[in-house]
Amino acid sequence: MNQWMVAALALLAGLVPCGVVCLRGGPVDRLIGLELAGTVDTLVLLVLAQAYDRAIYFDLALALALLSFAGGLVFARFLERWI
Amino acid sequence: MSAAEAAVAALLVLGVAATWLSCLGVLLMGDPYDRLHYTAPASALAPVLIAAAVVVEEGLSAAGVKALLIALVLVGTSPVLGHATARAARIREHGQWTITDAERKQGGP
Repeated sequence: MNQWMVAALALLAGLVPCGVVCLRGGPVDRLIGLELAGTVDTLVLLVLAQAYDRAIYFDLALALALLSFAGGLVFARFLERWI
Repeated sequence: MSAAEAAVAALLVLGVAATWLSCLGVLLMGDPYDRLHYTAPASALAPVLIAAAVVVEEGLSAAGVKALLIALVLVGTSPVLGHATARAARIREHGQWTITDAERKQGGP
């Protein structure tokens, strides 16, 4: 259990408020909770990659950063038109 | 504990603190525009601090460069996402995202 593992666990706790926001409020509030959860998840994967000391694991965080951005844009587009 | 280890620990603590405050702000604010402000520290400040911690520990190896790249992606994409979300919120509320006629008569939004 090094300091990177501790940081990853601490960051995971940040997902709880995001989850609460996703469960309450209007559709846009929920989308904001989802976007923030995507960012926090990216940071968790980044810290875990360093905790396990494998350079290849950083690619997971990079993929999540790009995909959560694309997903957020698609949700925003749907919310302004149809949902 | 060497100076580099202390720097890594300090950067990690700052990154985690920025993320927590960001999450709490999003939880506590009332409307979408206020919430959007509080997503910024988690997506602009925390990745830079954590990537800096990785670079301090690893140097500019494959891991360090990838961490910097991830921070760059997050810092670059989060303003775009914030704008798109705020735009969606305004279009849902007013039917358009530019200034409305009622707001123009009032002298501003």
